[in-house]
Amino acid sequence: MDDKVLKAQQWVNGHYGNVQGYQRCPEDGHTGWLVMYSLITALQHELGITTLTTEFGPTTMAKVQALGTISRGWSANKNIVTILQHALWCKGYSGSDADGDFDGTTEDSVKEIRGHMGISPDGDVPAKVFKAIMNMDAYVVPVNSGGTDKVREIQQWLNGKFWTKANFDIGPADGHYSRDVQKSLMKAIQYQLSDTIPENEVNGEFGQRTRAGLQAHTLQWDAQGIWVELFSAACVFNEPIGEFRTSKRDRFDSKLAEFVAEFQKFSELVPVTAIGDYATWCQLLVSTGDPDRPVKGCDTRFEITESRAAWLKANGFEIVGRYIYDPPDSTLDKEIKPGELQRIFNAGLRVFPIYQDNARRIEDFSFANGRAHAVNAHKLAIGYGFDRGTTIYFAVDYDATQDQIDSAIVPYFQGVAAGLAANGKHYVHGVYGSRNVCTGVTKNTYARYSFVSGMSTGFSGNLGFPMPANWSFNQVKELNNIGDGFDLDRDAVRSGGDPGAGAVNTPANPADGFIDYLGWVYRIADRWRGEHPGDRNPSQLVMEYLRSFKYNNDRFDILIGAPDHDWLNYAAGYRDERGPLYILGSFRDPVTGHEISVDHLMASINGHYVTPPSTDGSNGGDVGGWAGDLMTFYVDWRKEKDHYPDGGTYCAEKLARIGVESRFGFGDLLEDTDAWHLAAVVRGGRNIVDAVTDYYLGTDCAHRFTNFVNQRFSGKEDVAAFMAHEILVSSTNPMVMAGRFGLIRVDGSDVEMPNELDRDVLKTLEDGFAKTLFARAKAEG
Amino acid sequence: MKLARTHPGVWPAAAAGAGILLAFVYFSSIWVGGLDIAETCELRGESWDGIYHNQHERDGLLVHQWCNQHYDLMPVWVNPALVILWVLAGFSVLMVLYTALVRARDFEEDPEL
Repeated sequence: MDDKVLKAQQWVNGHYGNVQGYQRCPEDGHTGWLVMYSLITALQHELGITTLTTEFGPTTMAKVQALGTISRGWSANKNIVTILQHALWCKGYSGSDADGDFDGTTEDSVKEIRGHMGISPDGDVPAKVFKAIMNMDAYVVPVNSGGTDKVREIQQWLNGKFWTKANFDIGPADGHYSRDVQKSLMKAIQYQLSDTIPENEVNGEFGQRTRAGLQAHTLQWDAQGIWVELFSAACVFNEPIGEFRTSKRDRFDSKLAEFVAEFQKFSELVPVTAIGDYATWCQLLVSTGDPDRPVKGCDTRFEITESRAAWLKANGFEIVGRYIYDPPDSTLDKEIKPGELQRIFNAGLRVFPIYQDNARRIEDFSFANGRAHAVNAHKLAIGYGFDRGTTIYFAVDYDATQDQIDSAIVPYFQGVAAGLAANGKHYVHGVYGSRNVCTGVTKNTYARYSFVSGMSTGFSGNLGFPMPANWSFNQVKELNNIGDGFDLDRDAVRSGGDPGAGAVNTPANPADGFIDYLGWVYRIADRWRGEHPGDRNPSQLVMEYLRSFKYNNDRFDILIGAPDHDWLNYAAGYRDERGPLYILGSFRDPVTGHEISVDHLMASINGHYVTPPSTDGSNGGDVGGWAGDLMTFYVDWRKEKDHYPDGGTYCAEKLARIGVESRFGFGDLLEDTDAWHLAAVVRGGRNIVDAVTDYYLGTDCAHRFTNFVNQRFSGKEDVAAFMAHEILVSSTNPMVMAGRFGLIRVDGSDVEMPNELDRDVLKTLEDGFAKTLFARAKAEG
Repeated sequence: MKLARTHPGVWPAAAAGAGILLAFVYFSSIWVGGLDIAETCELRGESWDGIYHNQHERDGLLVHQWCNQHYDLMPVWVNPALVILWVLAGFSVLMVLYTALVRARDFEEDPEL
C-alpha cells in the first residue's frame, strides 16, 4: 500500500467523481492501470474533451500539444500539473507535493524519467512524454523480473533516436523484449527506408515496402552503421540460440557473424551464410520468416488423393500434417480418410498427426478437456495404426494471452499428458500454437515438439517472442487452389526434428532394433568370455565395448575402472556374417520419442554396475552418471551467473529441457535414470539384453523418473537436494572428490568451487535440481 | 662445477617437486572437457571428430583434448608447463646422479671430506 498512490486515487476521485464519463478507481493505495485510466479521463476533462475514454489517443495528444511547453513554472492549469504529479508518483517517481506547482522537485523527476526512457533528460513534458508517464510501462528493469540491461539499452536507444518521429511512441525500457518493442524496432527500420516509406506512413507492419527495402540491405561482414545496429538489435531479441548470445553493435564483426550462423542453423535457413541476408532479416523480424523460402512440409484439411500426393512430391514436399479428428458438428471433413495414409506413403511422403477439437477460444481449454481429447486421440491414432512413440500435435488455434496460457492452456496440456499416460504413453504430445504458447506448454508439460503457427504474424504470442527451442514445424504461408483445387499451409521443417510417420502398423517397438543389436554384441562377448576366462561377465564386456569410443579414457579409468583391453582389441577387429562389429549411435525411446545415446547409456550403466549405490551416500558410479552431469551443470551455471543469478531459474530453463542444449539435457537425464535402473537389474543377475528388453518393451520406462526419485532419493525432494549438496560440497568419497576436482576445479577453471559459494546461492541450484527431477516424475502421471 | 657443490638435498627435492607437479598437471589435464567431450565441443560451436580425438589425445609427453583437428579444449598453459616440468625433472635427476658421482670422487680422493 503506497500513501502517495492512495492520495492520488483519493484526489482524482474526489475532483472528478461527478464528471460524466469519468473512470473511477479503487482507493487502495495500489498503482496500476485503473488509477492511470482515472488520471487520463481527468486530464481529458481538463483539456475540454467531453467524450472521455481511457485511451491517451490522438485527440488527447493534440490537445496536450496545443498547451505549449509544460515545464517548470507552467501555471496555465494547476489541475493538469497535479494530474502529472500524481501520475509520476504512481510510476514510482516523486511528484513533489502534487499541488499543481511545477516546482524544482517535479522538474527533477521529469528529467529522471526522461533519462530512464532514453531521451534527452530535459525538464519539459511534451505530449509524447506526458503520454508515456500516464501508462504502466516501466523505464527501469524491475527486480527479479527477468529483464536484462542489454535489452533495456536497445529500448532506450530506440526511444532516444526515434521518439520525435511521426507515429513513434516512447516505448518501455524495462529490459523485456515484447510486442511493443518489436513494433518499435520495425518502425525504426521503416524510418531508414524513407525513400519508399514516408515518415507519416511508418506503421510497424512487415509489409511489401518493408520487405522490398530489406532485400536491398544485405549486410556483409565488416559492414558498419545504423543498419548493423538495427540488425544486431534484432539478433539480441532472438537470443539465446543454445549458448550463443550477442549484443547491439555498429560493426558486423566476427562475433556477430558467429551468432548469425548459429541462428541460421537453428532456424533452418540453409545454406548458412553468416551474413545479414533477406531470409535472416525476415526470420529475425516476423514469425513466418521469409514465407516464400523453399520448405519441405505442409499441413492441410484436404484429403490427399493420389494426384495430390504426386503434386506434393513434385513440388518438393516431404511431409504433410493431417488431422486425425473432425468434431461431429464440423463441416470441414478434415480427418484422414480410409486408404489415405497408404497413398501418402506410396508417394514417398511422411505424415504427422494433428488433433484439434475447436480449440479457438479459451473456453475450449481445461484439464478435463485435455484428458478427454488425449484419450480420444489415442484411440483414433491406434485405429489409424500410428506407431508407438509418434508425436500427436494438439492445437491451440487462437491468440492466447500469457494469463490464458497460465490459467487454461497449460492445464489443458497437463490433461493431455495425463490422458496419454493413462493409455500407457503409447503416444507423446506435441503442441500447435503461437511461439509463446509452444514455449509455455513445452516448459510446463514437456511437449516433445512444437508446431508453430507462424503465419499468424499479428498474434501477440508471435510478436516479441523467440522461436521455441523444440520447434519442428513452422507454418509460414497459405496456398489456395493448387493442384486439382486444394489448399494447404506451407511449413518450414527443421532437420533433426519430428520425422513423422513413414508407415503405420509397423510391428516394431522403436527399441526393437537396439535390442536385436545388443543381443548380437552380447553373443560375441559371451563367446569370447567362454574362450578367455576372466573376472568380467559378458554383460560388463558389452558395457565396456559400447562405451569404448567416447567414454574410455583416464577419467573413466579413475571413476569406474579400466576396461578389458584384450576384449576391446578383439571386438575392434571382429567380423561375422552380419558385418564388422560397430558401436550403435542411438535408438528412439518408446515413451518420449527422444533419441537415447547408446554410448552414454552404457557408460552410466557400467559406472553404477561396478560401483553400486551406497547407503553412505554418493560414489564414483554416480559421478559417471547423474552426479557428474550435475557437476558440469554447476560449472555452466556459474559461467552464466550474470544472466542466471538464481540457480533455480537456471534449472528451470536449462536442466533436462527438451530442445534446450545443455550439458545436463533431457537426453542425459533419460540416459542417467535408465542406466541406474538397468545397472540394478544386471546386478540382480539378469543379463544386459534381458534387462534392456524388459525395460523398453515393458512399462518401467514409462515411469522412469518416478522410480528413480523414489529409489535413489527415497521419494523426497529434500533428500535429492541434500544429495546434490553432498555431490557438490560435502562428500568425502575419493571418487566424488576426484570428480569434483576434475569436473569443477579443472574443467571449470575460472568458476568458484561450490564450497566457496554463498550457501544460500548454492542452495538455489540444489533445490532447483530436486524440484526439476520431481516435476518430471510428477508429469509421468 | 658450482651446481655440484649445492646442498645434497637440493636436486632430489627439485626432482621430487617437479615430479609431483608433473603428476598434478597430468591428473588435472585428464578432466578437461568434462565427462562428455563431444557435448562440450558442440556447446562451444565446434564439430566433434572422435577418431581424431582418440588418435591424438597423447602426443608424446604432451596432452590434448581435441574437438577436431583445429580446436583443442586443453588450456594453452598445460603443455608448456609439462615441457618445463619434464625438463626440470630430467635436469634434476641428472644433477642428482652427477652430484652423487662428484661426491663419490671427492670421497675417494679425500676420505676426510
